[in-house]
Amino acid sequence: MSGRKRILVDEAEYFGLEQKAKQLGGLQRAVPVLINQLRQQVNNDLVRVSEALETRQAAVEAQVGTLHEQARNLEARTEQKLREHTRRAAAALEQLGTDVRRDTEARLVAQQAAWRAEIDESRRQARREIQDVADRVGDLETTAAQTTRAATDWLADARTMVSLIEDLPHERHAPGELARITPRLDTAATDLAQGHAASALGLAQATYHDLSDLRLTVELAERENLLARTAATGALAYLTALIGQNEIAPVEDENGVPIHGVTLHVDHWSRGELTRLRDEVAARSREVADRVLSTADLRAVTATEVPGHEQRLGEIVERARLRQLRSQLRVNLAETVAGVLGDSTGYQVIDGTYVGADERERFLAKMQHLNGNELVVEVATPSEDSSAMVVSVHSYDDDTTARHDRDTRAQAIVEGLRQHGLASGGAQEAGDADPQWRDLEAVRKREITRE
Amino acid sequence: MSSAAAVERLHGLRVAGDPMIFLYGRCVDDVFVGHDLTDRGIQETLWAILRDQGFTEIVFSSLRQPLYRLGGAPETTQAGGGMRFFRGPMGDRVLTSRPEPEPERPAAGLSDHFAVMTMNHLMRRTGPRTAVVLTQAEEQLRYIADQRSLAGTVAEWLEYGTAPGNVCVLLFRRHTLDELRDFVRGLHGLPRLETFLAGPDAAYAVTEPDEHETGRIIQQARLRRGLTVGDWPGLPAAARAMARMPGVRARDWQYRLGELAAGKVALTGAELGRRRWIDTTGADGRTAWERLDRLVGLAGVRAHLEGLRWAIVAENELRTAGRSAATEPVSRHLVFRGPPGTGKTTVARLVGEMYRDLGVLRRGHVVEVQAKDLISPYVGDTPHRTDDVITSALDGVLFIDEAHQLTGQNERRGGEAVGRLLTRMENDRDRLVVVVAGYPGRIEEFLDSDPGLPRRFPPGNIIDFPDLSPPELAEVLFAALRDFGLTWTPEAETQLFEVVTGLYETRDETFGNAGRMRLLADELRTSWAVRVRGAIDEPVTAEDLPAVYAGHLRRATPPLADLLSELDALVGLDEVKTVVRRLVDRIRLRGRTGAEPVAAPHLLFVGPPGTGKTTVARLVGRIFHAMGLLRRGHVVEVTRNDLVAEWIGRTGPRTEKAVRDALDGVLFIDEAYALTRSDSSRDFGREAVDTLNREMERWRGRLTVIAAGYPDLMAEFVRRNPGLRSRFGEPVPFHSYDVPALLEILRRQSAAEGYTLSAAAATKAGQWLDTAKTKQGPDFGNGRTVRLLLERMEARMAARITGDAALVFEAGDVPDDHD
Repeated sequence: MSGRKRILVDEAEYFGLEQKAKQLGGLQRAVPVLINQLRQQVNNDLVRVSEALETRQAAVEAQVGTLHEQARNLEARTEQKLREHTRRAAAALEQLGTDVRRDTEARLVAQQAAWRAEIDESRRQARREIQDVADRVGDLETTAAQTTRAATDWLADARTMVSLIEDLPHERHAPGELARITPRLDTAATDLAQGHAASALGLAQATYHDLSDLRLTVELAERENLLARTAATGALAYLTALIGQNEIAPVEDENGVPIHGVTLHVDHWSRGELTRLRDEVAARSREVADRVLSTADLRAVTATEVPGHEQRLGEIVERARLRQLRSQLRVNLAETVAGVLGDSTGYQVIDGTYVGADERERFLAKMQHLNGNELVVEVATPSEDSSAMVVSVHSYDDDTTARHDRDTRAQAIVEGLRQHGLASGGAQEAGDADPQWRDLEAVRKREITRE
Repeated sequence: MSSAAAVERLHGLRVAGDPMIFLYGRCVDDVFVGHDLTDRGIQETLWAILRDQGFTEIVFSSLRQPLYRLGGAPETTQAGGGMRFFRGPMGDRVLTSRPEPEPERPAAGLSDHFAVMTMNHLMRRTGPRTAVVLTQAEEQLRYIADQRSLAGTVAEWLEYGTAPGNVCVLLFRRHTLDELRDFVRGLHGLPRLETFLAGPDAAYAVTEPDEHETGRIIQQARLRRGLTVGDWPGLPAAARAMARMPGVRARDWQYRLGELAAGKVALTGAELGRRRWIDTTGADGRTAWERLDRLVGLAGVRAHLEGLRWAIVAENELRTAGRSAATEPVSRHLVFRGPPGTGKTTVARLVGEMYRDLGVLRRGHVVEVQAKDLISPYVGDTPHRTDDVITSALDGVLFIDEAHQLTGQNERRGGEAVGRLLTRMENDRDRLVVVVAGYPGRIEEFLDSDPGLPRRFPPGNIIDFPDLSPPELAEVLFAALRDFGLTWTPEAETQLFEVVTGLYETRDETFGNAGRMRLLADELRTSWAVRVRGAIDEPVTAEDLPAVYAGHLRRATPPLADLLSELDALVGLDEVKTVVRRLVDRIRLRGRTGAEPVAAPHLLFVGPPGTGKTTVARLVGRIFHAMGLLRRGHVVEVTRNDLVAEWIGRTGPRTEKAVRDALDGVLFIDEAYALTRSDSSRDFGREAVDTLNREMERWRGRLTVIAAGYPDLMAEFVRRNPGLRSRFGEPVPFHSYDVPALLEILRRQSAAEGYTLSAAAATKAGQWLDTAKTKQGPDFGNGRTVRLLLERMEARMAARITGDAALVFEAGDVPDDHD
């Protein structure tokens, strides 16, 4: 009967492929291409965001024009600040396109806080002026009719503010806030109708300010959301581009010189990991585009999710590269063993293939002696990312049945490997030859099924 | 062979049937310079050869690369470091590991079952004709871990074969086949391979480049390195001489010629010779025939070779014309019969060149060996050793000097060597010529030792090398002295010529001819140098002649009459004197008739001990010398112990040596009857007698043998050896002395010692001798007893006299007893 000999070679010990794979490069980054991609995405988004803001601001300003003088003053000043804010935000986002550093998002957040403080200060100033006017009104001999009229104005302006807020996604940024404030307007209206003009005026005025604040809060939150989404969209676009750039990587030799005609198909060697990453990124991009994400979520996308994916991409590429090297090493080992057998025993190579013709699988070399005896050299890795290599020699000899002969042959292989600097530990008896490897044509056509 | 990569020295490599071929030798790692003047290694060259021989699949295997093909990249890593087989998501990129890889260790290589499995498959598959080449066979066989599997595979290939036509070629670096076999044996794991290698054709030796290739190496150096050629007409001869140098590879020639080019030295044969890169005998541009003409005294040899040459030319022409039906070509193997120093080795070299020029041999180099180079002291190793020697001589001439030493005492192992030789002469008949040389008489023994030999060496191929004549010898001697830078006086020249003549005339079949002359020149130089003590302008004179040669100088021989007077002066021996005088007269008479010159006769001296036989024998030697029958006339005295050995096979040589020593003189065998005193078949005396018989016949006229002993025993000895009887004439009887004669001897001996014998002493001595003679009967020692008596009288006188008293023996000096 035939026999089988097994020889272990630890790749890590002799080749250090893991280190080699790292040396041979992480990710491909065509930086100008990436930046263009990013800037274009951000700009497109910004144009869209700006247009929307412009439209809304014009509508708001039209409403503000209907307010009575004091309220108009306040809102106009606020609108002016918001316009300024819009301009600065656009500039900051444009900056994002040229500066892909990770803290962009944090700086943006800090900037926005600063602007918010500025606006708030501006409004406090406006309110103080309104209070001064009111105080002055109290000093003056104000008539009941004047009081009633003022109360009526504030009440009307407050209702205008309500309608402005209702145009904004206030429920997302300040849920229940408008509903909490609005009943006070009815109270003020009732007081006024019952002739309590002074009481109505006070309530209407305070409610107006609360509504005005609410509108500003919602407006700013909405703006932050828009900006965060733009940033996230940009980051995801960048990531998508990076993934695209690393789908096929060039392969370099030990000296960093690209090997002509050899490429690394990352998705193939990673068994689809790259596709899975790309799918995840695409799904996230859709969510961002669908505006379903909170500002915090959007910020997380930019701040942690995209950098995380980028690292994952690097790992995938590295793993693929290592697998490709190990695949080459399997063939190298088979070649060495075949050479040794050829030189020392007269066996000739007649065929060689990966299982299923898939380079990711074990490699089998078939050798035949002139007298018809056959053997198959199998080079396998126990698991895909293991550094151990197992060389098995399956003997299908017709006449070499003596154990001694196989031992001699295995010894010749071990000796040959040692001469190639692969001091392997010797050959072990490994039972009978595996009949499935004898027919290499069938092996080549085999369907690979993987869980 | 069509391929430009093909080189001549691998032409003989043919894949025919055997599943394995072994290549070995010093030159396996050489470069091979093809016809396109391109250097190739053995792998590329082999590839081309195998491709030419129809192999379509040629796979190489080394220790580090178990399987690869030429042309394709070696299958290890790809240029640029990318992957070869597979592509990952990053293409062929190889991710470098973090730690520096360890320095490369030798790969496990062919250390396991699988390389063998692969080779086995390649060798056994039918279809494309396949060759598997193991390029480092030693290392691959040694370091293979799974030897059992390899041994099994090889055994199967060799037993059951591989797919038809497939072959496994193994490249070894061992220099000789023997080393290769030893190596495989030493592996202890591949018995079938051992057996296979023991076969004759299992392995192919990769040799040095031949002259065509050395010619291309010269051209290559000329075109690519800027070497200038100084002597265009002499170029082929230079290339030939280069190709003949043993052990010099193409790679070495490239280096050497590069040196010439770098030094702006033009290439000539003379320059190569000056640097000792070639053996200058072949590079002077003269043909073998021209050089043969210049050799002294070889006209007959030349005529013989000329005949052989035209026979081969005619045979080639006839075959080319398709008119020859003869399957057995003219044998190329030769026998050089002659004594040493007559130029046989030199002629063998010329024969190599001649055969090369005739196209019989590809390289024509000569490998000179003797019997000891073919025979191994280890059991069973001789065929291997012989094989190795033969392999080294392939495409050239194997020259076996003193070939007879392969027979005789080395019979068994010599026979193994001869067996291998015959096999290889048959198997490699297109690549091997064997020349055997030896003394006349002995070489025939060699040819008779195996029935296969006369067929390979037909009588027509026996070439005689005569001894050099005295003038030729003198020419060699004086040339040697001239080479030493010496001069000599006219007297010395005359005397040296006498010595040379003497050496020539007293020569036996081992006479060294030119070698002997060079030895003499050496000896002269040494004694001259001692005498002149640095005054090198002094010529060589007669006094420089070492004493051992004095005997060859013509000296004033005393006239025969004086010698005969000397004989007459001997005490007693009247019958002896008569017999010798009669003999002298007869010889003189025969000399006067002018008939065939009289040969020195052999004599039997019969008589009891102490009767003057030795004295007479010495005188006879001088008399024969004076009569011109013997060149020297000296006497060599031997007894049974000097002729008969204790072990089998030793007696013959011992007797032969005694005869050699006595040549031109007298061999005096005292108590000769003792040679055959036993009837036992284990007695080697019989062998001594037989040898003596043969030698006496062989050296008739050069030797007088005098056999001496008791009359009755000698009569019996001669009776039992009829062969001897015919050689000896009438016995010369030596009788016991009577008392007066004994007294006369005592008187003369005393006088010779400076003593005087008083009358009283003489009387008493006479009584003493008479008593002794009576008591001892036939064992009476005659002259010897007299000598004994004199000694005892001397001792008694010495005890008696004091001061300067006269040395006169008194009666009291004669002892009373006879103990």
